[in-house]
Amino acid sequence: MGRVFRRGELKEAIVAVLARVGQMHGYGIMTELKERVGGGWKPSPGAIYPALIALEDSGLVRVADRDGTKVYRLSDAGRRAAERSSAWSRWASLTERAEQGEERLALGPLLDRFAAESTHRRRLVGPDAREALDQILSRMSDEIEGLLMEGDDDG
Amino acid sequence: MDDFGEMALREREARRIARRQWFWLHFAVYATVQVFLVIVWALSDATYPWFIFPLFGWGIPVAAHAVFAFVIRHPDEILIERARRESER
Repeated sequence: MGRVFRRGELKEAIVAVLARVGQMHGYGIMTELKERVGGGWKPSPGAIYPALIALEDSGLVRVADRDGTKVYRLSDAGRRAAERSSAWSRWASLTERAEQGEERLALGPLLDRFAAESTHRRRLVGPDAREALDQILSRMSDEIEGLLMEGDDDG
Repeated sequence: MDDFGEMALREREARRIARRQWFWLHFAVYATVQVFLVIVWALSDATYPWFIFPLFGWGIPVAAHAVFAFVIRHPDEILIERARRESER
């Protein structure tokens, strides 16, 4: 597998992750990136950590110390940068690069799109609505699971 | 520096060690070949010292490799090292 991230893209991807999750520690950011990019790509602390330091230096990311663990979140400048960058097309091309040489495609970008299209994330709902939504989501996840099992039989 | 930073530091250290080991392997091959060439030269007519051509011709890349292994540092390494020093203060 060749290089997945080109110059500057890792930082942009981290900014995009932080824009989505709010705040997170280094290890969490790494895991999140791994899932989003997919294609068997393995990020390493030796690359992510310096990128976080550089983002902090450039004022895009703020760091807070929580019981000896550093927690990162976007600064105002970082949020503006996240809005400007077209993270969408980027995730797709990153995944494509990570998958080169592999026939299988990562589910990450699809699931991301689902998450991004849910614009009501912070809305509060009553217990009944919650129950119903929970059922819909379980049904959906079962269906996806079933589809994936079938796919495995084919391959 | 938190646990994640420590992981990054250890990873970079491992890579640095590996880089140095590659250099020493390269150097060992270089030195062995040069000794062999000098012996061949000495056992033959031993007049014109032709062995100096591979000695320098390959010696320069070996020296460059040494600079890469021992002197030049990746920008990421410098950032991690700085974070480590700051956390120690």
